[in-house]
This record gives sequence, C-alpha cells and structure tokens, in this order.
Amino acid sequence: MPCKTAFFSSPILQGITARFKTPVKCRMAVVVCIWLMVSLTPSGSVAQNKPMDAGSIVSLKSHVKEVAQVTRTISCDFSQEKEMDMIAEKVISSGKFYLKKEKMLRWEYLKPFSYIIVIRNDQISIRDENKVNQFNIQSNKIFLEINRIILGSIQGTLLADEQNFKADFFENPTSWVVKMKALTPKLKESLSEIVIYFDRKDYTVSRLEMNEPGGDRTRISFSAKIVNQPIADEKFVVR
Amino acid sequence: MKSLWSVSLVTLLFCGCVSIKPSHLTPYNEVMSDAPNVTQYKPPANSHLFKATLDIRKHHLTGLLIIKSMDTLIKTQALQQVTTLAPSKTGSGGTPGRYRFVFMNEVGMTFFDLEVKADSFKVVSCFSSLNKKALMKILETDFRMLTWTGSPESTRIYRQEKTNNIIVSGNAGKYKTWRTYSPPGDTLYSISAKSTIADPVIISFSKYTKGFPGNIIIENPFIGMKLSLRKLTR
Repeated sequence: MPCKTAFFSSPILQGITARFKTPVKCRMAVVVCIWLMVSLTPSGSVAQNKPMDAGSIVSLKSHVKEVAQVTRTISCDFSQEKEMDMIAEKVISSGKFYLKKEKMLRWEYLKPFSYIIVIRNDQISIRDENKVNQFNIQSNKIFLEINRIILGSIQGTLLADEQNFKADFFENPTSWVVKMKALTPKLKESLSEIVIYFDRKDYTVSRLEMNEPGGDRTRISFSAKIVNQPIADEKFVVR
Repeated sequence: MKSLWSVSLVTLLFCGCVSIKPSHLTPYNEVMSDAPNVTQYKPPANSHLFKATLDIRKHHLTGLLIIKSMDTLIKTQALQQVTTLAPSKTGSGGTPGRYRFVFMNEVGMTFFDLEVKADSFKVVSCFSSLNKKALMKILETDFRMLTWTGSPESTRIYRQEKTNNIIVSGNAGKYKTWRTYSPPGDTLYSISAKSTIADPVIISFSKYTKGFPGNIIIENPFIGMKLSLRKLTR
C-alpha cells in the first residue's frame, strides 16, 4: 500500500511514492529524489540574494536618488501576477505604465480587462470599462497608499521612508533587491512586505512585489522601458 | 462604516422586512420533470474570474472576484447533478464542497477572502473596514446561494402573470428560495433567497454564452448592497 502522509501530498511526490510498497522505502525514495533535485539544479538558475554591505547600500541609495532626479518621463509595459498559493490560483493582467514629472501617472490595464487609473496632481480619474469616476486622492485612503507605494518605489523615495518601512538590502547578479517590511499596524494589515528590484544596469525598477499578510503576493514586472522621451499631457486625461 | 450599520438598523426598524418574492404568481400544475438542458449558472468546476463592482450605499469598490472550487471530489459530483424543475418533497443538494471567494482590487490587494463550505463559513482574510459580522453574514448568504446546487425541498411551481416566467419556490437548507426561469423553463433568470429579514438576496443572471452567464448581479436590498460581476476570459 502506498504510504500516505501530509508530507507526501504533492502530485510529483505522490507519483513517486505510489510505486513503493512500504513507508520506509517510500521515504528513502523521496530523500533520494530531493537530493537529486538539489544537486542537479544549475547554480545559476536561481538568483541567490546575498546581503549588501554598508558601502554598497549607501551607493545604491545615492544612485537611485540620482536616477530619479534626472528622470522626467517613463513609459513602459507591465505585467502583473497576483499569486494566491493557498488556493493555487494566479491572476495575470498586463498593460501600459506612464509617468511624467511632477505628479502625472497613467496606469492602464489592457488585459484581461480595461481599467485606467490616471493621477494628475492630487486628482484621480478612473475609467472602469466605460464608466469614468473622478475624485481627490486625499479622499480615498486606499489609492493614496497605492500611489505612495508604487510611485515611491519607482522614484526611489520609499527607500527613505523609515517611518513606515524597515529596509533590508540584498543583491544578486541581475538586481539590487530591497525588502521593505511594513512597520505601522495600518499598513501591515494590507501589506507585510514590499520587495523592489532595481536593475543593476541602470538603477531603474524592474520588478515590484507586494506581499500580503495572508501569503498572497502581487508581482509587477516592468519591461520595454523608455525613459525621458516626451509624453503628451493628453495622456494623463481620462474621458 | 459604523454609521452605515446604524443606518441599516434604523432602516430595519422603519421598513420591516424586504420582500423578494416574485409577485403575481399563479400555481402551475404541469409537471416539468423533463426540462432538458436548463441554462443556468453552475458553480465552477475549477475557477471563474470576474470583473467586480461592489456598491454599499455611498461606498464604491471595484476589482476582480475569483470563485474557486477547492474540492475536486465533491466538485465532480456537483457537475454530474442534473437540474430539473420537478417538484420535490425531500430535496437534495446544497453548497457542494468547498469554495473560496477572493475579491481584490485591480492592483492586486485583497479586500476579502472567504471560504464557503456546506456546513461552515470562514473569513480567511478581510480589510478591517469591511470585516463586520452583519456584512459577512450577508455575503455568506450571497455566495452560498451562488454555489448552491440541487433541488430545493418542498418545491412549488408557479407562472408569473405578467411575464409568463416560471417560478420555482422551495427551501434550500435554512433559506427560502424562488428561482425564476424563462417561460419555456430553459433559462435561469434569477434566484431570490433569504433566511432572516436581514439577508434577502436577489441574484440575476444574464448574457448567457455557452450556458454560462456573462453577467451576474447580486443585490441585497436590505442594506442597499450591489455586487456586479462580469465574467472575464483568461
């Protein structure tokens, strides 16, 4: 009879364990499999994050600040993946992102639904399908927070927000990784941690992860970045 | 939100109970045991993704709602159930298996994550401003009715005079339900249900494509809540 324990409940391991008749042989087979998987994994296939030293942290902060200062516009594609491990479900969406200094942002979802958020100064306009809503950002705490976090991540200002986050700095061959743990109870309720990946080549944000207390996480990856090319103000108007 | 619940309580005192029973009904004596291929919402075999809008009085939330079946075994049984409009004395079915309802905003932050099982309801996570017992009770009714399958107990069949629609009333567990079907009895238009004066719900289905409603509207008239769902293709 195949051995049955919670540990053996993954489909791959179930396939392996079903072939063995006794629990002892079964466990041995799993140990061998795990050892093989670990030893055969190419070292370069998983990016290892190692802690940054103090000098590198100062240098990163200064570079990010410098890049943010000279960045007047950004336009790029984004893909967003919401992972819900507990229910083994992913929601993938994608669209276009535009940023223009000082306070203009367009966050446009194209797939699998149409949804546009435009923030211009303190005014938010949302087009949800064909319906347009406009309100002041100060009146909507959720958007105020999302705006602060996303813009703060992209512009690097979040790194200096020691009141709300405790930052830990890591690096891997492709990115500088900043893990920001939420400190305030209100923030902790919706976000336990934000992880920002800065591209080592140009210090721009390549990925953003928002981890929720329940274990769900949203990963936003930015690609096809175009920096400091003119973007018409019209782009930040929703009709 | 506190004031919202105070308003709801006052509404209860002044308005009494909200009627969700379809009006102008006349008993319908024909036996409709052979209604084949009834087009109606069926709980997902795996998962469904919806664009969602939740309005509670002046509060307006938009985002995505995932309805996910969590139990493969019971899920299969639920799919095998044949829906008929035949009157039944004993009744059968219920919320099949375990379902999760996750409502998140477009940017990905979870508003609530609820679990509905045949015999229990669990708030897995919820924004504190939404996590009120009364609201959760109402959402439980909404989602239980949305995932409920099988034949209600003590069913009665009626014709609605003005529309000629077929109405099937019955008891689904503790809920009194009315299901409204098209005149030929082949398409489910809505489900009305309630267990207490505070949780009446009307669920409307429209824009069916390949047997699945493209739009679902869940209304809770007692607290003035409306959840509009539009199915998304992934």
